[in-house]
Amino acid sequence: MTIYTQIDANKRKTRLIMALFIIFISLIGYIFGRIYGSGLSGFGVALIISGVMSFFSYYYSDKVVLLLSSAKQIHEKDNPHFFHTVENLCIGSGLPMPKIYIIEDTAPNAFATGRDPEHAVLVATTGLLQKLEKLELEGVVAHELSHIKNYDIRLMSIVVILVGVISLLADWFIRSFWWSGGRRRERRGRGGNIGFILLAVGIVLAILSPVIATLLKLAISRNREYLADASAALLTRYPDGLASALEKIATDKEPLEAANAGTAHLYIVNPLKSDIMHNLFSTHPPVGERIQRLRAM
Amino acid sequence: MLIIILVIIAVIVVLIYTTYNGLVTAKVRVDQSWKDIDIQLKKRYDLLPDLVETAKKATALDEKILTEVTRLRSEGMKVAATESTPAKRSQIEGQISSMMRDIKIQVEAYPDIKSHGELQSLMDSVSDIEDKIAYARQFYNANTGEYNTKVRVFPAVLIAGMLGFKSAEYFEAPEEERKDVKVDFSETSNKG
Repeated sequence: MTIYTQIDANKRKTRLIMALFIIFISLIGYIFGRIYGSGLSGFGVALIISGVMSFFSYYYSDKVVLLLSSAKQIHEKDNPHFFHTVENLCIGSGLPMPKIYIIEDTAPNAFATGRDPEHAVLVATTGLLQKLEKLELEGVVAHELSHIKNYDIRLMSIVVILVGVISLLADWFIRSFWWSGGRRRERRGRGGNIGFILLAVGIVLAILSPVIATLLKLAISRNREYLADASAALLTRYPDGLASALEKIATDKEPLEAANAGTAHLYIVNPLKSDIMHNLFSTHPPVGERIQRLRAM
Repeated sequence: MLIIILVIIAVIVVLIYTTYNGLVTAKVRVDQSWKDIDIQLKKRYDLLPDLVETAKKATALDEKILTEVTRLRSEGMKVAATESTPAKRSQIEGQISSMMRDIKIQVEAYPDIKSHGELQSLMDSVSDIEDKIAYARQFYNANTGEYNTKVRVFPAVLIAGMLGFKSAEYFEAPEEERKDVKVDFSETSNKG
């Protein structure tokens, strides 16, 4: 498989997953709406509030992430070597220079965020800069720049917001059920069989939908990692650099204190080193698999 | 009958419109990335006199290389000022690049390099600018490849010539230079 066909295949998969997401949201919206035939206005209010929240997080998610990871911005004089590496690869991919942030942590890792290439931020830990050699560092930077160029940073922000909206809707549904559900059930008595079934379906959906949404988010995130690896290889023309960088980052024993479950999906290699439920609940494809694909290029 | 003719004309107009726009977008990308190369080459022109002066003072560097670099620089600038077709310019710039590698090898072989901080920092700038030129060239050639494909495929090939879209030239790296880059890779990764 060449690099070009990998990029195409990944783009197709991502479109499919995004379509699934939209169908899923409309479906639960429809079912919740049917159950609360009279409560549509409440549903509308929920949508408006979640819309405002989405808008806000679309513009400020990067700042929140940087704050959570306690990253500090650096300039050319602080680390000319790293700065020039980013600058060179930006020239090679035609991207504007992103802002560069550093996390003071000996665990090697990196991520990119922001809503588009003009507002992009590239973050690396001090451990990454110390432990990687030049060509490995180039591979990692190229991987992150690919996330920026492929608009993964925007896609992931939007997906995270969509997951949030679904969780919020489910939460609203369950709450309003607790408040009004009891009374309504008494009123209907034994006659409301269909209503009862609908309600039961609604409750199950409300409980399951955040989980399903999260699984979709993780599936998208995994796909984007393969695509970014392939694009990075195309940019540096040296897949082995990234492959051996991934090897180093994955085998590094030190935990990254700045990372948590909320930001883990951003990093080049999952910073939370646990083996439980590795496949379904992982934000990243297995590193071994990624390295194998890179070496095969 | 009239309607059918009108529909056919409309389809043709839309087709020409979209192909034309696609060609323009691709050509703009080629031109922009060519400017990026040009910027980096000019930065190198600015750097070279400093490098030659410092190298003359600091080391027992082969004088012939330095005179040759100076000569190529003025020749390159002359070409850049008159007709700057990528193929023409890459010929001279490629020679300068391979000179730079020769100088680097000689400077690195020179044991007292640490006592000449100025030369060391100039050599760092040289490596950086050479990297930037290489990446700018890679981006330009990728865009050129995309554009040239667009010009040649159907249906664009029917109208590209009429509208004045010609295949763009690549900014080639000479064959020997490509080999050297490979050697450079393994060297850096070993040294760390």
